[in-house]
Amino acid sequence: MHRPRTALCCPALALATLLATGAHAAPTPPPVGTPAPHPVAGAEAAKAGTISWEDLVPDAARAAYRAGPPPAVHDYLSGESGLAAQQPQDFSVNATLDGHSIRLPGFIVPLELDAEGRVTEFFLVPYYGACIHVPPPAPNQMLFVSYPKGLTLASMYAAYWVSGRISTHTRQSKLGSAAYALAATGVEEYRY
Amino acid sequence: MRALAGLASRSLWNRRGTAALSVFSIAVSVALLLGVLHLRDDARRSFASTVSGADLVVGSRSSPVSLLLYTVFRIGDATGPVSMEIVERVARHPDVAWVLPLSLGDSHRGYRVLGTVPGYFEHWHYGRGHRLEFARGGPFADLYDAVIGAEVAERLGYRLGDPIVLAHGLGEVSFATHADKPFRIAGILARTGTPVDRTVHVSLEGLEAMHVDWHSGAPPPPGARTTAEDARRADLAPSRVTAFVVGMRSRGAVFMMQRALEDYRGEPLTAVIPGVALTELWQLLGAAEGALLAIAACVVVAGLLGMLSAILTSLGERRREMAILRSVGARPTDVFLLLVLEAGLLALAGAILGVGLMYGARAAAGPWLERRFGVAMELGGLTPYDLALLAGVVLAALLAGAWPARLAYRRALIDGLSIRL
Repeated sequence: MHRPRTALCCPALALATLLATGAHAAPTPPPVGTPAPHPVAGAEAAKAGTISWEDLVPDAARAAYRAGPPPAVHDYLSGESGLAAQQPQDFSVNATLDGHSIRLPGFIVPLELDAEGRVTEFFLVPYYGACIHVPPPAPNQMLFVSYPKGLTLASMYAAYWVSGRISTHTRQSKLGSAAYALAATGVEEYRY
Repeated sequence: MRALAGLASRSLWNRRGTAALSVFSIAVSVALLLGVLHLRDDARRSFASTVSGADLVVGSRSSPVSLLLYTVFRIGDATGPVSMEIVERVARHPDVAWVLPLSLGDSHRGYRVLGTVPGYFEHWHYGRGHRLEFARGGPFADLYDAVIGAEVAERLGYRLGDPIVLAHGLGEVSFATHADKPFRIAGILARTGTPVDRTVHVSLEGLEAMHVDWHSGAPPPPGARTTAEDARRADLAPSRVTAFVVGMRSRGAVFMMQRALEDYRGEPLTAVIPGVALTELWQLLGAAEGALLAIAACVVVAGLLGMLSAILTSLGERRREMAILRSVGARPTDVFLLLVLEAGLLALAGAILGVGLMYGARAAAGPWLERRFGVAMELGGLTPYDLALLAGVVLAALLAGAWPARLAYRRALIDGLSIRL
């Protein structure tokens, strides 16, 4: 019932985070305009544990991937089947990730709270603001996470590392709707 | 040590008037601290477990917290109506599993009346996916059936089949009632510990029937009223509701539905994910909680300082007492320990009395708090954290008592048996 001290007070984890950030330092920056190299392909990243949001997009769609908010979804309410063709959002999943243990940072959109106010089910999304007045993320850029232990959310603006086993489902519906689900084993606050 | 403790308690009893004041001030501060902590936990439990399994709550445009408060907690007022047209549109959508329209605006003796569909009793979950259960009876079958929550039944003493007259407006008393169209209690829900207990549920058509002749917003004159039986034959399809709750078939589409509803040009709507709005409510309350706890902690410190000043001022009068003790063989350290123990005993007595005060206040204020703010009080025992706090208060008193104890110790050394007053 009281905010527990986050795990980052533990020096071992602080050291691990330092090492991880240190490992990403590039020796010389490439010239401006060079296209960014492809991030580590899905299965290999999953073996490494930590993945990035780009890994959730399958190879076929990666070339067309655009970071940033998608356009408005004015016609969604009509529910007509033609909508999927108009929809630039990507509904496909990266099936190579299915069943792997991964670790991914993101923001939390709470769905279910337990009696003590801890979040037990939530969406993990790549940017804050996927809540009320801002366009939603693409379906394959959000994970439905279940965390029975419950997380006391310090702030909706806080980012968290979530680790657990990811599973992929593709539900067939008129609009096509993909889903990543994660059974979370650990949630820690994200520190730069 | 036992002898000293006995001595300390007898010495305190001798000064019981002033000692009682110190005990009482500590008791009040402890009661305040524990009361705030328990209230916070009660509030958290009441709010967090109120609704579950609902993907979106949609109402007329307002702040998300305010929308959640008037639909789920039945506190506050709606900002405007929602047309049935959008409710039906959403209900027909392939990604939507179920929709529960909600209509508010009437009351019965201070309890809110909620007009809804029979599906409410199936889809409205609370806590960890608990369904609503009937203690007696069942959902509405007839037009004028009502289903009441556990607290309404208990407090007003209603049983199945009793008539119930609903009033217009949300106050505890209304001067515009629907006495010509009494409802009949068809079901009583089992206790949930949520605002459902304080609600009277009727069908949407029943609400329409009540208002079928209220064209000008007030009851018509006696000659022009439609009887309850005639109202059955009128067209009772509702055109507007206050809000609606959506359960999605595919969870991943909740953001798209939310965004589409918020962008809907037909009418101004707000769609909230209940978990998000609840968390926002928490964060609003969290600041208030923190402030209350800080104040309570300061009050405890003030109580201890009061006790300390009482002991210090009494030292002057007790020099003869100390001298007598020394003369019968007490060492200076015994004098020191005596005073520390006194402080500890005062704090212990204050802590115990404080716990009693806290429970008394909660038992007295509990029903009112539940009625007014929706916070259900659970009179449980003291948690380990509470016990640790109480131990902390006693320890702080012991440490604070070291100051007058040291003064008395030094004076005991200096004075000897002759005291120069």
